[in-house]
Amino acid sequence: MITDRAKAGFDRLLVASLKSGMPVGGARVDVESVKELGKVKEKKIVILTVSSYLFRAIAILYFRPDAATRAYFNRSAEEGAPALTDDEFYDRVAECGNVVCGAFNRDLGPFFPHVGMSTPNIIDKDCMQYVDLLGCSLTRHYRIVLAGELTLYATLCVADYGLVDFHVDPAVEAAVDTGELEMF
Amino acid sequence: MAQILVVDDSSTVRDEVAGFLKRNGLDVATAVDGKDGLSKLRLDPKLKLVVSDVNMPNMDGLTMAEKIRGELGNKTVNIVMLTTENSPIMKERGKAAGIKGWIVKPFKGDAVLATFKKLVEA
Repeated sequence: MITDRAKAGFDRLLVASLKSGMPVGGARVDVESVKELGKVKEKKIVILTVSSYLFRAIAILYFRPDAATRAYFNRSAEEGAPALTDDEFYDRVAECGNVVCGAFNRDLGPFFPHVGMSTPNIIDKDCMQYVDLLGCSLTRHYRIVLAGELTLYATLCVADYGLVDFHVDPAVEAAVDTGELEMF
Repeated sequence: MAQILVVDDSSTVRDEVAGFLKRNGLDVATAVDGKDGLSKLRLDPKLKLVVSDVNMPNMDGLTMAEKIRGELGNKTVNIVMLTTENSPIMKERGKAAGIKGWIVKPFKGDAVLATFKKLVEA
């Protein structure tokens, strides 16, 4: 069972992770919850899992390998740089998913010390029809607008193996200094 | 001869980190996972710094660090992890393996360049 405040916590943490992990080249990222994904036409998904003894969370980012999406993920390239190859494009999307889930995983760490995450996998969207078999008790969908012009979608599914209860205080922001070198 | 070995299964990260360091005057080699990193360090034991991801196929970065110190007997190369992970348990394992530092992705080159240069000159 996932308590209502834990559901709100998963929701809040994933939205924050999408906002921090999706920008490329300083782009603005807007994220909002949506009820259904009926019109999503994306063909591919990048999927990662974040798991503890009590739950498995599956984060899914839907995308299309079209020109607009390729251009977004190549925004940080120098002027005149060649277009991304297919391998480079898929790797960038996968790494973006990795950074998003990395933040989600870190933010869940204080509540679930043994939480861990998978590496990203890119698969066909058709595989989503099997997600129901996981028996998830929490499913949330999100619309993500990148740089004000490119819209992608994401889904969070959480399957629980026991009582999942935690509270994310909206007034407390995560205190991880990304990019800084911590010397030992 | 390379000074720094960048180990990551993501070509995006390898290109980003290696490209930044090369543009700033450092000699850089790359490896696609811990197994590849270990074999490249075996071939070039004079490398000064290894910058490695943690979660990778075939061999993860922490196992690679343990093998660099144990199997290769290389006690001098500096090892810095570059990862989305921030778990105290993983950091403790890294410290026990003799790693020098930890960076939470995403990589911000300007924040670490001066320290990397000191580590390769040491």
